[in-house]
Amino acid sequence: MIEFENVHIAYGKNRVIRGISFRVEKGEIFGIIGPNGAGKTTLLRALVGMIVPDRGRVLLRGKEVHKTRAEERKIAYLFEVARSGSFLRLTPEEDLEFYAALYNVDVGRERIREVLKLVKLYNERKKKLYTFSRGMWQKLYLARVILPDFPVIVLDEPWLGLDVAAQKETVNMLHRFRDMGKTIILSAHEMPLIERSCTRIMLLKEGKKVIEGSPKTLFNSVGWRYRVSIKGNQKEKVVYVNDLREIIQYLQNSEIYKMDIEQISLEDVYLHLVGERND
Amino acid sequence: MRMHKQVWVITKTMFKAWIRYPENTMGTLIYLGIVGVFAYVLMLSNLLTIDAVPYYIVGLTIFAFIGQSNSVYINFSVWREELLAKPVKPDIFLLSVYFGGLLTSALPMLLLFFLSIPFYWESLHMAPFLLLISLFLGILSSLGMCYLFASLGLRFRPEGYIVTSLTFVFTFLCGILVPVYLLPRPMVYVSYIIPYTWSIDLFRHSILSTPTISPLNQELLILVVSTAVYLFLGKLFLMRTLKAIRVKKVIIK
Repeated sequence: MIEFENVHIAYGKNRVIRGISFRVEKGEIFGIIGPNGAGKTTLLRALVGMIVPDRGRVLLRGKEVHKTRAEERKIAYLFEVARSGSFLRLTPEEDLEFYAALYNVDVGRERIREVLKLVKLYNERKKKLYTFSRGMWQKLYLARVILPDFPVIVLDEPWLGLDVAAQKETVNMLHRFRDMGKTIILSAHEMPLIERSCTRIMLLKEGKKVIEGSPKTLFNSVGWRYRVSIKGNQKEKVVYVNDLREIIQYLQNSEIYKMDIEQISLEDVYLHLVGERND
Repeated sequence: MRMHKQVWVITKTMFKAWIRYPENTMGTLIYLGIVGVFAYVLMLSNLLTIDAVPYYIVGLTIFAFIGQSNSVYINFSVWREELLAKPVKPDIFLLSVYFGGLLTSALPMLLLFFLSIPFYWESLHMAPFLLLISLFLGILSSLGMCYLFASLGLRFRPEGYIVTSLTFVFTFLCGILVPVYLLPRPMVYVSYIIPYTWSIDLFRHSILSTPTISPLNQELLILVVSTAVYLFLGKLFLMRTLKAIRVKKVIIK
């Protein structure tokens, strides 16, 4: 459905994306992760047609994105946005009516209310936006992307600044969107949430793809599954093993006071692959 | 969504977003008050051929119709990413912002204009046909300016002081507060290249029968030509800016 073919993008002399290729199939939740400046947002911008690649192609349903009209693309895009200062005195209903006009879709009052119910903002539909908490704003952002009922949803940092409850709610909502047949592409830094949400993940570093695959593929790429912290009569030791039997060698000739065993997380994989693990 | 509905929804939103801040309405009233005081206290009447008050009110009224470029600049800057990624066409958005601006700024001015009519009835010498032509051409040339400002809005962040300063520059240079012929000579030449000057002058002539800067036919011709030039240049600039952002990946400053 979506295909990046050897895409190169530069801002002036700064080469942000260096030959990236990947494919996203219909109904997937595809996560893009990577350090700040790795090129995640730039890839999303190329996908929605905001920028044109210098080399390579970005294809949507077999057509190059920048050669199609925005109406044909049918992509709903949530930016990593600051709250708009001018429209804070609108209600969510009015805000969604405005967004429907920006998306050029004719939605009635019923559809707007249906979407507000879906994101659990229906009871707040008459409140002014300036009274909204960060979590409520995030729900409104998700309402904006689901409103036009487009098949592709692109989300840049959907969990930014949310508390734990709102994060969990957003994950559930993404699963609901997927169940509705949407294809979702997102970029984020919250590894546990990405692990719970995404069917496939791509790790970027300095504009290049490091790895791409299911969460399981990423775990397998590291070469260990357990992080074991051993505290005994000698100083604390942290070891990484694929099989717990491997730790026996570390237990010989030492007295053990405390031992913690953690299963590998996506965060560990991320830190391992981008080379930022300190321990 | 049909075009007219799209324009209506965006226009309505712009109006609601503005009117729900009481300080906006207060600001407009204070501005009108300051201008009124300015008109009375400085008594430029002795330099004008007619009473200063209707002179200013008519100038402000036409400026409310045509002076929407700042609103366009701010909205194109604030909604830049949405405009680049969403299906809404820049022309539709520009027109909606223009109408939204009309609803917010033209209404108080029109109210003031109609309220002043009974008091300054003797100063009015209306030429309805010319009034419509000057309004029509004024709005078209203003749309040309709006295209230019939309391009700037896409390239630069909205800086409040720049926008406010530009409003005062236009107010000062285009003959709203001070008649163009009273400006220092170099400023007069600058004012001639701004299309607002001509539409304000023609509009004022069509209501108050004030003397025009140039002979009427010549002034009409200048307004038609400058409208065509500004519309063409404005549209061209906007298209080039959109292309530059997409292809050259020009970053907002």
